[in-house]
Amino acid sequence: MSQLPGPEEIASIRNLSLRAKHIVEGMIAGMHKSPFHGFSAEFLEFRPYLTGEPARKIDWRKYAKTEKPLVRLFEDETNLSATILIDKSASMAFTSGTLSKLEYAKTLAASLAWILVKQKDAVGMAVFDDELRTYVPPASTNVQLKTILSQLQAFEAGASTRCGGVIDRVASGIKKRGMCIVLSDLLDDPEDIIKGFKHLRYKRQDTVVLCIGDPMELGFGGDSVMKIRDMETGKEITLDSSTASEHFHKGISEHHAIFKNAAQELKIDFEIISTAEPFQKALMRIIEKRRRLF
Amino acid sequence: MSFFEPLYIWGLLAIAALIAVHFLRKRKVQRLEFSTLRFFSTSAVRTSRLRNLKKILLFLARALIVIAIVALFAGIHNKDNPLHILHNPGTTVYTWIDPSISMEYVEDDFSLGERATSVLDSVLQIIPSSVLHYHYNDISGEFVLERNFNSDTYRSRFGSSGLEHAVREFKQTADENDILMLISDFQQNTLKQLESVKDILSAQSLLIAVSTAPKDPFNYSVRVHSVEEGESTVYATIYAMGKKLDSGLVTVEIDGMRVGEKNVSVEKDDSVRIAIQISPDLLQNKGKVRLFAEDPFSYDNTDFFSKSEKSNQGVLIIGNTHDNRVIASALKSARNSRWSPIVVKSGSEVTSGDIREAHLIIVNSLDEPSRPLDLLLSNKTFPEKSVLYCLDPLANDLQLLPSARQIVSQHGGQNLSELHDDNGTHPVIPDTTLGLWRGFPKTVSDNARVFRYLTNLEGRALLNTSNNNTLISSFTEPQGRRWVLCATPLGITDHNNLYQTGFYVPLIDRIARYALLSVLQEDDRWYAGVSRMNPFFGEENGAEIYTANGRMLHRWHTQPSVMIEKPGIYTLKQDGEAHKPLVVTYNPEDADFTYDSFDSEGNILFKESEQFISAISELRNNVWSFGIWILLSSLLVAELFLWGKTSTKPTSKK
Repeated sequence: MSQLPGPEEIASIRNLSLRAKHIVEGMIAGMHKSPFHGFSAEFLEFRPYLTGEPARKIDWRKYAKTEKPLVRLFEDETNLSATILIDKSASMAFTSGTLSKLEYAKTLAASLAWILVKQKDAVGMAVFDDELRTYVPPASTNVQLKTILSQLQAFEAGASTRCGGVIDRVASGIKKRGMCIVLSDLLDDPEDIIKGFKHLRYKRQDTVVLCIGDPMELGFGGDSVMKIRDMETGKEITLDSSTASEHFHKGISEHHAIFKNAAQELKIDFEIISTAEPFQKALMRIIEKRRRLF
Repeated sequence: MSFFEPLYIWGLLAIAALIAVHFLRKRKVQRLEFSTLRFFSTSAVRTSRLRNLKKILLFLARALIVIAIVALFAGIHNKDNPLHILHNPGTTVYTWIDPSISMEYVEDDFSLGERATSVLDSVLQIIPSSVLHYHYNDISGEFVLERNFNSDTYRSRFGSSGLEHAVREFKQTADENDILMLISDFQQNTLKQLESVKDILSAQSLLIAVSTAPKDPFNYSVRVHSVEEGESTVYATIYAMGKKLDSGLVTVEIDGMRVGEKNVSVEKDDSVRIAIQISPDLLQNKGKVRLFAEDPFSYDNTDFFSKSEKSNQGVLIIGNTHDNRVIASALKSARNSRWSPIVVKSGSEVTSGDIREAHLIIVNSLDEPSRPLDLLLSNKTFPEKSVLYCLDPLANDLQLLPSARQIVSQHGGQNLSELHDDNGTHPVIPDTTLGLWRGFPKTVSDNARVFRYLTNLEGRALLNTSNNNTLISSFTEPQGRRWVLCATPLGITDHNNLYQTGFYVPLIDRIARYALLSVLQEDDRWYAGVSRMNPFFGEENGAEIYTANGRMLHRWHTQPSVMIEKPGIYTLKQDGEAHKPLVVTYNPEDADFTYDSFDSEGNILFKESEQFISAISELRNNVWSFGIWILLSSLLVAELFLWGKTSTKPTSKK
């Protein structure tokens, strides 16, 4: 890929729809097929293998018998139902640069919605902070995309986080097997969040967790004294940047490690994404991961 | 508290730089709205506060390091102890150790000289190696730079300590802020020298006088008094200063052989005169008397004698030969007379050789000018000869001798006037306690009369008239010549009838002996290490001095003053003359173990050697000396520790 435009550059496109389109069109051009696939338990029929498809799709038993490359088709193979969960708690409003975590998450969510709708998959959205604030059930129409994009454009950061509880509630509402993409900074009690993930997995959701972080959260710099105020609770603390950096780095590493371990156990995709990372690169990471799994 | 180099105090400005850097680097408190505080526990706050504290401590440590370094460079010290100046790395120390023989006094198995070198060694150990040290060289009379002082090079000698010269040399060569250290036993004569020169030093120079005087000094000594050939007896006096001599042995040695001995006991601070008889056939020209006793100073336990010098004294009588023959007769007939040869000559006949041969010159009834006499009296020749000058009341003689006129005018009085009393006045002894008159037959002579004499004679009165005029007086010139002046002639004369009385012979003998006294006991004695006027200076021929074993020591001719370094019996070989023994004895001043001290004042510090050693030991262990180094080391360790703890770099995550 040629040099990717940075997030600030993309963020200069104020309209979320155009922004998402700009990102996705740049990406999809290089892709043959969407990586997002649905799931089916029922065999439908064989079809010929198409050049360019992954060779693993070939049913080799059939080939052994027929000496023809054939691919199994399942019921509902193309009918993916995805729900994008976006954390809009106050902490998501943090930014050390131009783009806040929330803006970044919105852009990612918009891009993902674009990709899914364009490949005729159903996509829904759940926006939450300490409560589920907005829920848009999955649909695959262009109107759905517009609805999602306009909802994304509209909301701002809210109150404190209760991430785990909300995910749990969303999972309760899901009837059908599908995919859940969580966009959050996960700055809540890990046990609650993991409980939510477990519920999603229980509901046969292919879960992708994108932990959004600001570069400053990932490493304080400078040699100054800081009066740090919690955006959610309003509490204040005074520390020098070295101590702040040491403790935060240690804390967040441990925090992320918990999620990594849990993700491994629950077979969840877990990615830490910095708001400094180009959108296409972030999306490609997700997409490449999806491809390897299939 | 004071500083050797106060200019370095400006270095404290570096602290201002530190403060400036500290405040410049200190940033404003940043306010930050952050996503969460969940990862900042109380320990983070504690850690942050500790880091802040360490930064402040680091700053303080660095400031103290600057202060300590400045203090080291500036040379901080306690100015209340003047000895602290010895710690000034930029100073120069001049040292002098008393070389006089009294430093050989032994106390507690160490001589005073050894103690002095030990004191100097102690000082050199504590002063910084950058301090320049000059030590006085007694031979060259100069201060010489010493890189490594060797105490073995110290040597004592007879003679004056030379302190005065050393101080003057210091004044000439040293800078104002330099230090002069004098280490001596400070005998009275040395102390007098110090008193005489201390004021020439500048107020900035520090003079440290360290005394090595013994605590309870005592000394036994022997002095040969006379050798009576007729009696084959050697007379000596034994002295006991400071302690009783319970039992001592005095021996007489001639040619290395003991020829007589005597046991002696002397009370404390007293003296005893002893006589040791020798077999006549053993009594030679020269020998020595030795005292054997437990004595801390043994250099005065031996004295030397030479028979010929003590037994015969030549007299030269210059003037009218007719008038003066009675003087010669009186001397010859004096009891136990030792006057020989007695030469009577007129003014025109007398020669330099006559003067040289005589011990005593008597001038009486001078009626002719005399060039050799004029030279003698004007101190151009034979300054050691004593003169008995009998004044003519009519002052005719003074017209003939300008030198005599000058001497008489200067010392005998300027208001001399003739007094004529037809009835005459009696001579009266003014002070019978005077050794001169001890045992004299009569204090007043009834039949002796003086009819014409000069009044207002000045000087020390030896004989008066019954109307309280001084008849005979004496004075000693600064150059050393003793004069005896008589206000009336002593030969055949109309001015008195002294020569016709029984008073005359003992008078002449006593006066003549008194005139010679200084010569015999002082001026005629040669003291080791003491310079004297060269008796051959200006003479046609010089003389050579030989040691007892025949080695030539000196040649005396054109030098104004001469000296022999050590006591002993030497041989004087004068060109064209017979050889004579020359006895050189110890100077009683060298063996005078009376000590004084003086209080420290101004820039002069006086300390006993033990006090001084304690003071400089205290100096070595003083906190000002090494405390700053300990402080500096501690601060540097603290700096390393604190810097390591505070220089943690903030971690960053990708």
